Amino acid sequence: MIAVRNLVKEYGGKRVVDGVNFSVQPGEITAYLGPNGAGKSTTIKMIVGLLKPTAGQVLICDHDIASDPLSAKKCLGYVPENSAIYATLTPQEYLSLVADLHGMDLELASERIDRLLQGFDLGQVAARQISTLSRGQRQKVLLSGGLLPDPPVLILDEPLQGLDANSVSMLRKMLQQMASRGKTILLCSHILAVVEKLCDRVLLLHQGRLTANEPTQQLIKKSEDGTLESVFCELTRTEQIEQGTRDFLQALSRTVNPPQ
Amino acid sequence: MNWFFVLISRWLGADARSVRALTRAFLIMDLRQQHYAAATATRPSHLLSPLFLVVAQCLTMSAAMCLILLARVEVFFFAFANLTLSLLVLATTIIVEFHEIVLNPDDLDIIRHRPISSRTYTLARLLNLGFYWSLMYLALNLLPILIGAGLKDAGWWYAPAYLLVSGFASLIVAALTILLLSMISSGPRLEAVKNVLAWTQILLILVVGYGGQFMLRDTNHAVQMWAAKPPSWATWIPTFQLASLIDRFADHPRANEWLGIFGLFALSSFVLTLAAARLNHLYANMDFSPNRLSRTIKMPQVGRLTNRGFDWLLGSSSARLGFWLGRVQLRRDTNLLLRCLLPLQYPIALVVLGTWTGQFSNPCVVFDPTRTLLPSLAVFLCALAVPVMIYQLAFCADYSGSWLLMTGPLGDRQGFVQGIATALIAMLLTPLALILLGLLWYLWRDESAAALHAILAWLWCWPAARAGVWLVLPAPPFSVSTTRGVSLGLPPLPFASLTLLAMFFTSLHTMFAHLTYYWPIALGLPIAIWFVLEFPAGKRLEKLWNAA
Repeated sequence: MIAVRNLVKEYGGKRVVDGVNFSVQPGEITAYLGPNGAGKSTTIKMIVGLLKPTAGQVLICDHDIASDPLSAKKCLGYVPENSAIYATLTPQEYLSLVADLHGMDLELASERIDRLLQGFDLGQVAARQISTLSRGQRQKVLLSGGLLPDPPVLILDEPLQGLDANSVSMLRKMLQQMASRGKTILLCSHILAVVEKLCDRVLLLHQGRLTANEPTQQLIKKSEDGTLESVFCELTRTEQIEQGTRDFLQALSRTVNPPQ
Repeated sequence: MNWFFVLISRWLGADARSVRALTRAFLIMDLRQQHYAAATATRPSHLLSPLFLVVAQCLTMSAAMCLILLARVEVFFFAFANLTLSLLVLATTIIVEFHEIVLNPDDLDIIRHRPISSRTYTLARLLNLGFYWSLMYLALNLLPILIGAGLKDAGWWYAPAYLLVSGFASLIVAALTILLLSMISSGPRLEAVKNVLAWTQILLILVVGYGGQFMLRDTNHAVQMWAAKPPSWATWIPTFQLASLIDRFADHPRANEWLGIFGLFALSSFVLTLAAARLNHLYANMDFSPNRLSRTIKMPQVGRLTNRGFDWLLGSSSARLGFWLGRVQLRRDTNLLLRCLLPLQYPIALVVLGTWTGQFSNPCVVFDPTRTLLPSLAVFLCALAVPVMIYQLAFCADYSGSWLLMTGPLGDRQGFVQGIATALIAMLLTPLALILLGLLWYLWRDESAAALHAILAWLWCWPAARAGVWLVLPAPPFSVSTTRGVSLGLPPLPFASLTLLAMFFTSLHTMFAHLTYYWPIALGLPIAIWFVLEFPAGKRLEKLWNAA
C-alpha cells in the first residue's frame, strides 16, 4: 500500500504541495488528478523518492521512502511522465538493466522481458536504440520497465501518452488484472474517460491541496451531467478561465495586417 | 576475478550486480554517443566517436610536447613539462568534457526510483570515470614514458618512476576535480568554472603549439637555461616536486624516493576516498540536480523581439529574427558561447607570442617578412575563426525546439542565417577587432595602420561567415544536440581549403601592405567576395533545410 502523510513541498518559500494526506490500498486503482501546475508530478516524485519533501512522510508497503529507501523502492514500479530513459540503449538492454537493478532471477527476467516485448509489440525494435523509436514505442519501453519486476505498488505518471488505442486497451486490461491480484496502483492522467472506466477512487489536487478523495462513482454522481470532466472543472475552475477564453476569441476575430 | 569484484563491492557497501549492470550501461551509452560524422553528413563508414577525438587531442598534445623537448632537456625538465601538461589537460578535460559522468542530474529521473543504494551508484559512476581516466592517462603519459626513457640521463628506473608518479598524481588530480565539481555543483557557477578551464586549455595549446615553435627557433636556449637554473618560486609548483622525485628515482631509488612514492599512493587513496564519500553524500541527498529556479526575463513589449538599435541595419524580418535568436542563444547557452570563443585562440596566441618575441612589426612600414608575418596572419586568422564558429552554431542545448524553424514559414532563410552570423560578428568579432585596433595602435604608434588592419580583419569576417555556411555548416542553426567532443568535429577538407586561402592572403598582405594602392583592393575584396558567396550559401541552406 501507499500512505502519504502531511506531505509538503516548498520552492523558494512557495508551497507547491500543501499538507497532502491519502492512502491507496492493495487491489485499488486510484487516480491522482489535477490541473496543470497543481503539484501532481511533484507529489509523485516525492512518493517515489525522486524529490525530498519539505515535510511529511511517505510509506510504500510500510517502508518509509526517506529512512528505508531501498526496501521501499524494491516494492515500487514507476513510470515517469517525461519519458526519462537512457535513449542510447536498446529496449532489451534497458530492460536487462532494470532486471539487474532489481536483482531479478536471470531466467525469470529473460522470460518476462521476452513476454513484455512481444506483448507491447516491441519485438521488432528490441535491438534498436531507444532514441530511434517513436514516442509511443518509448512509452511502451518505459511501461515495460515499470512492470518488469512485478512490484506490489505501481505508480504511473501519464502512462497513456503516445499510446495507440490498442495499447491503451491492453494496458487498461493489464492494470485491472494486476489490481485484482492485489497490486496497489496510483495513476496520474489527464484522460478522464479512461480514469472513469479504470479507477476505483479519485484524488483531486488543486493548488497543492487535496480537494477530493472519493470513490469515482460517488464523485460522478455529484456532477450535473454525470461525467468526471464536469466534476473536475467544477472543483478546479477559476473565474478567469471563461473571461480569458472570451478575450482570446475576441483578439482572434480582429483583422490584422500580415507581418512584414 | 568475479569473486574479487563482488568482495570489493560488498566491502564498499555496494551491490556488485547493480554496479556491473550500471557501469556496462553507462559505457555502452557513452560509446554510442552521437558521432560527429552524422552531423557532417559523411558516410557511416566514416563515423568517429567524439571520445576518440578527445583522446587523440590528448595524444597529439603529449606527442608535440615530447618532440619539442626531446634531445634538448634533461629528465627533470622533461618530466616537469610533461607532468604539468598532463595534469592540467586531465583536470580541464574532466570538467569541460566529462563532468556529467560524475554528476549527471538526468540519472535522478531514470534510476533514482530503482532499488539501488547511493554507494552502488557512486561506485558505478567512479568506474565509468575510471574508464575515461585510463584512456586519458595513457594518451597523456604513454609517450613521455617511452620517449623519456630514451633521454641520455634516464636510467632503468625512469619508466617505472614516471609511471607510478604520473599515475598517482593523475588520480589525485581527478579526485580533486571531482571534489571541486561536487562543491560548485551545477548551474551558473559550473558554467563559469568551465569557461575559465576551457580558456586554460586554450592557453596550454598556445604554450605547446606556438611556444614550441618559438623554442625551436630560440638561439639563446632560454628554456634550457630555465631548466638548468629554475627560479626559487618554481619549487612551489606541485609538478616541480613530482618531477624532481622522478629525477631522483630514475637515477637510483633510495628509501626517501620509495617513501615519496608511498606518500603519493597514500594521498591519492585519501583524496579518492574523500571524493567518493562526497559523491555518495550528494547522491544520497539528491543534492546535485540543476538549479531549476529560472530567473524572470523581461520583454520590453509582449509579442515583439527587439534587437536594441540593430533592427534598421538588418533589413528583412527574417534577418532580425535570426539576429535576435543568435544573440539570445549565445547569451544563454554558455557551452555554445564557449565553443564559439575557442577558435579565437589562434589570433590571440599569435598576438601574444608575436609581441613577446618582437615579431609583430607594422607591415605598412617594415618590409621584413620575419617581423611582419605574424601580424598579417593574425588579421586573417580572425576571419578564419568565423567558419569554425558557424559550424558550432548547428549544435545547441536547445536543439529540440528547432522544429519550429523547420516547419515555420521562414521565407528568407539566407537572411535568417545572415542575421545569426551578424549577431556572432557583433558579439564576438567586433570586440576582438576593437581590441586589435587598440593593441596595434599601442604597439605601432601608427593609428591609420592600426585602424586599417582592424577594419580589414573585421571586413573579412563577413565573407568568412558566408563561406562557413556554404562549406562547413552541417545542419540548420541550433538544430543538433551537443555531444562530447563535438567541437572538434570540423569537416577537414573544406576547413583546410579555407586555411590555405587565409595563408595565401596573408602572404599577399605581408608582401604588399606597404603599398598605398594595395589597401583599396584589400578592403574591397572581402565585400566583393561576400556578394559572390550569396548564391552558394543560399543553395547550401536550401539543401540543409530540405534534409532536416
